[in-house]
Amino acid sequence: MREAGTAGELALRPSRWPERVTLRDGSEVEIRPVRPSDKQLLRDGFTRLSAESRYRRFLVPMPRLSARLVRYLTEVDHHDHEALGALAVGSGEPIGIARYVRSEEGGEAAEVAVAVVDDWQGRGVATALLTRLADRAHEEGIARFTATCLAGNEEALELVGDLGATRTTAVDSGLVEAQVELPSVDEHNLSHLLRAAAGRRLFFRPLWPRERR
Amino acid sequence: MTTLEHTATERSTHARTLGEMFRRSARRTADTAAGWPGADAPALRWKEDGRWVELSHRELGERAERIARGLIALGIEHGDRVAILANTRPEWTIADAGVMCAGAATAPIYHTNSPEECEYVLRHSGSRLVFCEDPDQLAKVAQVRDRCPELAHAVLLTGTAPGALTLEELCAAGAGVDPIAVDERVAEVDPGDLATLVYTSGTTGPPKACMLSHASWMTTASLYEQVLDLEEPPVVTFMFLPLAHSLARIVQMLTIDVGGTLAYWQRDPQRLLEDIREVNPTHLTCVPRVFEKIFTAASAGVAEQRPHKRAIFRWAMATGRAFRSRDEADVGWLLRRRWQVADRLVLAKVRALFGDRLRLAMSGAAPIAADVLEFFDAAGITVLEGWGLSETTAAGAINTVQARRIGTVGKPLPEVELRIAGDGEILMRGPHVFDGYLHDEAATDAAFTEGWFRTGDIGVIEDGFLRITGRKKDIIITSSGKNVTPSNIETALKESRWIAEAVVFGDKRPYLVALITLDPDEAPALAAKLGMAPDRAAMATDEAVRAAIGAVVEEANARFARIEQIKRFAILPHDLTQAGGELTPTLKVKRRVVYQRYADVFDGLYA
Repeated sequence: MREAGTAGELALRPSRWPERVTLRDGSEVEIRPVRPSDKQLLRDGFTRLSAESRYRRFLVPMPRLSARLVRYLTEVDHHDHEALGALAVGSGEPIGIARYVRSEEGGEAAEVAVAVVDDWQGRGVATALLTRLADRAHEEGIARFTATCLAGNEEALELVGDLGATRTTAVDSGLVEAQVELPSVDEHNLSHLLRAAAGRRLFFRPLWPRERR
Repeated sequence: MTTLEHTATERSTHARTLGEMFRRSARRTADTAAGWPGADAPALRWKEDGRWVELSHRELGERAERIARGLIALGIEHGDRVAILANTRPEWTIADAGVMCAGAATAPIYHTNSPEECEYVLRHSGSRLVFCEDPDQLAKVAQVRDRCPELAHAVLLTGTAPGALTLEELCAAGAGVDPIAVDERVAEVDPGDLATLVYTSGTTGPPKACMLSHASWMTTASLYEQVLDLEEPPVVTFMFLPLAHSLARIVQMLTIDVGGTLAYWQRDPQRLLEDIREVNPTHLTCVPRVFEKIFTAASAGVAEQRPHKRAIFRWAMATGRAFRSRDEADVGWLLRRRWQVADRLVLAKVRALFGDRLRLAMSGAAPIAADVLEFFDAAGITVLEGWGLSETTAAGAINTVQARRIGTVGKPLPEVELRIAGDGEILMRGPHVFDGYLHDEAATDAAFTEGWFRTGDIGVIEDGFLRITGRKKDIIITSSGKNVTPSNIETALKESRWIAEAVVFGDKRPYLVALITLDPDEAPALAAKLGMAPDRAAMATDEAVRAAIGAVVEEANARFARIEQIKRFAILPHDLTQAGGELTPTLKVKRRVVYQRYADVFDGLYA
């Protein structure tokens, strides 16, 4: 069992965030953990999600975000609940957000969810967010991601499937649940490097603290 | 007397297009009068001012031709869309036949639709003309006419009103058009051309328009003719389901194609059972709701009886089941005698609800409960369950007298290929599958995978029989067979500041209900406004709170057709919870868990 990291540790590695990522079409985004002060940013991002995108994210219609929901989505402890946001470089506009929430206290499984504003869908934002979220999850002692999505949402299933060995189960009608075993640290490191190399971006910086090995 | 010389396939017009079908059907009587028993059967029968009126196939053809000439005179071109906004009545079929003979395509609108929903279909289909049932329906169109730039004409099927032609005036307008022009129009139509749009609900947003070609309709009719017992005349089908729905529509086409009679209801749901008895149909296509109604009425009637009568009823039903479950030869004399008594006392009375010549009852458009099927089966009425979608011209699989298994939707129709995808989704391929959604390439692409249509239903195939086990999309199918997208009305409800979650329910039920949770941040404000303590449990049952939420529901309802409205609602005394599994950790709502966990609350809304 790996030791869980803390939010404090994160602050000791300021170089890691924001991380600049070049997308498939050449546009650039910055990824960083979500902060409580991001509430307005989250609301702005939400307004740029179509009804369909909101439905895919929450599985029910979501015409507005309640204050309570905004708090839940921005006030995260970076251990049991981590959220990474992507912002457009330059304008700073919100583009996407991915989060995991540990399913049971002290458990190794967490549920993931991701949303990308409609204008930016299809450029690889979700992939960029999820790979980094998987890294963070590792650091916090998460070994497995689960994702619940609409049965027809193949993009989401593919995205999750790219992270590791995946098993999908049809949850009654309407929903599919995917379970991904996040690769062990070494495998993970390798796959991440390969992925980064494939994307012609390689960052020579420790992906997680050495003492965790 | 069982002569099967004239099979349904032989009786078919073998037309390639629907216009051709109506034209040939009109000539058949004269051509084949000597040939068939029942060849002179009327095409349409309905009750007017208390007496039954008929229209022969020849007369139907003549009326269709006059309407087609009128449409041509008004400038309706080959391929133009013509909307029909009406309840199920003979004029619907006549107008449809006219549109087909003019080489145009029909865009049906449910007569229960709100003006906004009518506007959507009129605009989206680009309809150039709309047939309206009466001045009331016309009034809905009048409200939105300014926003439908392509809509040039309105024609009333009954009554008169300014701004619209009557059917007679339409026909008069076409008096100068040579009937040859109609033949030319019909000849111009290619089997691959669009015959009709069928609007169907999606997961979010407005409905999608399935494009069904003439070939889809004609092929589907021939597939059904191959498996259904339509051989011996007369074939009299009872028409009451909305013709905007693909199921009623294929029944209409099929009946005309084999020279049968369409007998219409009087458009009063309260009189439905009387109408059925009076029509005395040979074939009845229903939705589960109707069978349920009869089942419930019979069961409730029995429950009120004295104990000995209840016992007789149960005994008779058990005897009927035993009798029907055996082959004719295996029925011993004792069982036969018992059945005769049971039949006289009870079973014959159940059968009599449908008249005295019902050969086949079909249930479609929504799943039917096995106990309901078994009830009718015991009484000697074979109810065959089938399965199809608007995208597949209401065809797919069906139980038949020869191959039947309760709890399944039967075997695929001839030429229909089924496959179960990795995730359990039923994929379908065949000549009956639609050509895509009008103006929606993305949805069309998503509807197919490698040439197979993705039905959105989940199922398994057992010994060739298809069993439906679930549904991929969040669509509610009420027991009346109407597909409703819960998300549209849920969105409307959740726009209110007071409401956090609204989960709409209604699958296999007669109407929609909603489970509502108050917004925890706003609940104190609501309590203060109403002068009460902000106690969620107390608020959930408080009359004033219910009235406030009721007002929100009313307001939301006004934007939807009657069938899509929330009839009753319950307020939960708490939020949806993660502990109960209704909410996932990332706050996704699991509808099915909500349904299961609060099953008693939902049941209470149907009590």
